[in-house]
Amino acid sequence: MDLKELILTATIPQLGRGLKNKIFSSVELTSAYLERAKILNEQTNAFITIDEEYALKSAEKADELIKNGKAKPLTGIPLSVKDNICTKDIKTTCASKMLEDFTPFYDATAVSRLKKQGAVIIGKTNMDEFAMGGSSGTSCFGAVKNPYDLTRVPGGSSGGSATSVSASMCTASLGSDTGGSVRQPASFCGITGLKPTYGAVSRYGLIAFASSFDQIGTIGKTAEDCGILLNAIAGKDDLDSTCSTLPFKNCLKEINKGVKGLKVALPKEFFGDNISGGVKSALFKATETFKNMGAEILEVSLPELKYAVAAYYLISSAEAASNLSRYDGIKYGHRSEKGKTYEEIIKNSRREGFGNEVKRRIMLGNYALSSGYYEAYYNKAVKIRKKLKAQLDEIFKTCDLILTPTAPTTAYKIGSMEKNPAHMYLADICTVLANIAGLPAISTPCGYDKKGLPIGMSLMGKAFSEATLIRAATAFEIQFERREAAL
Amino acid sequence: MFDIKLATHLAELSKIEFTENELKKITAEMDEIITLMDTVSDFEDTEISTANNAVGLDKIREDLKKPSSPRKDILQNASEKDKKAFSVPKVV
Amino acid sequence: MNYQTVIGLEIHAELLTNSKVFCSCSAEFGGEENTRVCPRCSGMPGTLPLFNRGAAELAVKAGLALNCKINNFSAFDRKNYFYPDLPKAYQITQFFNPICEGGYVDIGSKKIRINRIHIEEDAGKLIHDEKRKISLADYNRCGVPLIEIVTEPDIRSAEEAKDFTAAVCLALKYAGVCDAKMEQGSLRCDVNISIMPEGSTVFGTRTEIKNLNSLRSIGRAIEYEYSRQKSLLERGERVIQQTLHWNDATGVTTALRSKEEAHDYRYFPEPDIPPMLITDKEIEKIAKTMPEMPTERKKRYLEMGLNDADASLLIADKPLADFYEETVKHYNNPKSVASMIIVELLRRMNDSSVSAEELKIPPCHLAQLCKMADEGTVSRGAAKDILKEMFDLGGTPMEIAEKGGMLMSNDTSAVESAADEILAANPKAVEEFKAGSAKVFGFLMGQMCRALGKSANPTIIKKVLEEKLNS
Repeated sequence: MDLKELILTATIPQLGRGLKNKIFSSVELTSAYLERAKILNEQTNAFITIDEEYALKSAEKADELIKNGKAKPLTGIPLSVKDNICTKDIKTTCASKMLEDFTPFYDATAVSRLKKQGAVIIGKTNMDEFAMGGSSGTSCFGAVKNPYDLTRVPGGSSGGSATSVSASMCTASLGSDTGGSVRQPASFCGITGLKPTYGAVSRYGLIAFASSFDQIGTIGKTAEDCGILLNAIAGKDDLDSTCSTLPFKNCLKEINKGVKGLKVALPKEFFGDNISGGVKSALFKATETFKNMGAEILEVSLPELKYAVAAYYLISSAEAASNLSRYDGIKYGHRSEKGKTYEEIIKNSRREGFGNEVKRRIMLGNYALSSGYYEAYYNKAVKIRKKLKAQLDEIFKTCDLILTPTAPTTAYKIGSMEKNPAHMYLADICTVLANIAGLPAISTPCGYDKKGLPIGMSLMGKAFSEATLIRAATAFEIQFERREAAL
Repeated sequence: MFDIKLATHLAELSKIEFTENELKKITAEMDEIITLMDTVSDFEDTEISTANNAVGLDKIREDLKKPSSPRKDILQNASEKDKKAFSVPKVV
Repeated sequence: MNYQTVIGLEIHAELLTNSKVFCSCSAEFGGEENTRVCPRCSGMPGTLPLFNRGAAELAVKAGLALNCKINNFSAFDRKNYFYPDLPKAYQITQFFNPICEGGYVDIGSKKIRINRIHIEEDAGKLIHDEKRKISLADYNRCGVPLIEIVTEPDIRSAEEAKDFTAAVCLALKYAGVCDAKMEQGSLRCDVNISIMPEGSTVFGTRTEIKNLNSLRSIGRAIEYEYSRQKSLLERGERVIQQTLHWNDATGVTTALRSKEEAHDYRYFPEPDIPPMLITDKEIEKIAKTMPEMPTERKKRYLEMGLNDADASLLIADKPLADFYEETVKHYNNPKSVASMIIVELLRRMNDSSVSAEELKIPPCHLAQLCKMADEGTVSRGAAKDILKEMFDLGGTPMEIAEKGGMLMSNDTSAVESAADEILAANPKAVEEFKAGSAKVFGFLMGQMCRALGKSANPTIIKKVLEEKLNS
């Protein structure tokens, strides 16, 4: 069997069968991925760290488990993990100069659960610094490139994770999604990204950006692959008190049920002038497909959507300003050589350690919280958040899913958006709602624009309805012809 | 209006050093960002009662002591330290 | 002009939990630097706080002990500021929704109202190295649970401030909330103080004196600050609102920081910890575990017949008061037991710095001793000696009395023969007695006691001697 060929299109269940039937070993499979990853990383910059030695050692252990008949769905499967998720004894940098040399001595809960299944982590993926951005261009390790067009962005902030999967450098990946950071890069890179319900996955070991929005998500070539990863990492965790204490139900159990009878809502505000023509027409075509498969399409309205982006940025930046205050160069992280006093050292460490976007968010967050502005900004945003949640609850009383674009456009040229940060924020309009309300959402490919760049659509569901999302996305995948990136 | 004075104040709260030029640049960028944020001022307050996510006492961690981490692990990522503690320039 | 002092207190008390408030590290005092630290309390990236139920329960107890309303709904917030002893650069506290509100403490002369009690985390310790010009950060104290008790500005003098603080310490100790060892820093006090012309109702500008760690320094700092503010006003100057440090050695307050920029703590709800719901049923359950509070206990002691001074003395030391009550259970003579404890035992305890918890004497033995003294089984003087031995070495009072020959004899024959001998040997004294001299009776009594030793019962000696002389 030509593993080099196989991994270009492989899904987790396919590889799992090959491993179980001893057609190839995890060491062989991991080596094939590593070889490809090392070569393509030169072109894409998807990985910050590729730990070959650790990966092969894990693969050996996985082969042992398989030999002893103890294989689980992820045993021996090569995966990547975003570099803001802590991995014991492996550098975890958040793509920031601030944490360039930071090595945690603890694993994130999601990582320890992957390890428990015998999954093989081949490396840590590049991203926007501290997950703040939508292009993966703010990394201190340089921009990540889109496998469909290396002059374009892969989206962000989990751009390295999306690229690593899209370019078949690994099977699937863990990302994080605070305002769309798993779904939007999945959309730009022509693959599937799942943001679970807030509290479905423990945040322990996920380096905080905005605590009330952050959620670890999964990226794969199919909804099923995303679901397999989610099943492995989700569920009650005593290390995170915001994690749900209810048992997480198998999100793959309805995967073959189709969409017949499902009620899919289309909020008209998501199809305005800010959405590009190509994206809109792909979405309308997808809507037709759902209709043909027996889903019921309903038009709804979310009048307060116009406040969503600002509310999201105000609250998330406020939380970020506080979360990132711990980086003072004293306990860990970059410590400036400049300055004699404690005050001077922290100011210079933060000046040198943080990039421009991170600084803007910290400034914005402190603005929203500072005396005299709190009511007008932070508190107002909290009220908007409540209102939006209530409106979504109302829609979900009669609907199962909300269908929207994942991004207003397809992947844009690297460097083309940096000059105008505020403009870039507006591009999050399609994804922030799920984070504001803590609801699950999945982005799945639904078309390609004239340049052949992937277009993604998003399905958002009620809290803990991941099974329904995977079911609907899978039904659509069967009707849709996905194109691999030509790397 | 987001001006240099406000930017200087926020830089102080944020504990980030800026050069004069950097401060000018970020002031202009922040001005645009705040303009976008100002859209929230149109939102009309209405009392919305949503279920709170409060947790009962029984769901909260029990008061049990567990071993702490090895000190070398705690200190391993610090660039200035002695054998036992983190080091900073003397504060009053 | 005469000025009136207006004082409000903020008392920080460490809760007696096993583990820290947001992680499972030990909350115990001490330990080598940075050995009671984990990724959570040292603010490592990716870690999250895990609230401690024990801290909530103790805070509720504090609220009940200080007559507060316990809120069913409370939540945590972040207070943001940079300092090297605060690794996350924010302190988790309760700003918007504290766990307790609106209590009071009765200090006898008046009631001091409590505004609120909230839970928060302690910061670490900085050890300053003058030679190397560095500060070393030790995070062992980071995350030790505290409650902050905030009063209304009801206090009007240093005396009242001290009485209030003492009453709070006592109540917290009784409730098992805090050991209130001010010298170790497990309870410390910030004083907000302003002055206004007597008769005025408009408060003056206040200053805040931070971290006072004894009742004495609270009193001295208030007196000093009153004079300082008064002389400022008398010179026509203004009091500046600022934070002050009290130097116990020099007896002077100094400004902590030059007033660069007013603090802006940017409080907002802590997103890592869900709000907490305490049901009335749970509050009731906690209330049932509350011991009797000092004020109630004092009232009961007064009803038992103790005087105010003795009752106050006993309740001030809870373990001692507990010891007292155990003793009374074995020998129901509250006044006699109280007097034995206060007059004899407490003196020995103070002399040798032994606390009630360290006593070698079980309550039943002390009860026995009191009873023996009251019933004349031993003399009062002998009882003192017996107590000394019980205190130093242990043992039952009966054994000690027997061994030392201190039991008073009821055998009159020995007394009678002794009387015969002594009267025969002192004919002159007998004559003088018969001639009406009462003074000489004392002399004869003394002779008798010397001859009979400690075991002799003076009542019997007296009786026998009188009979013989009058016969």
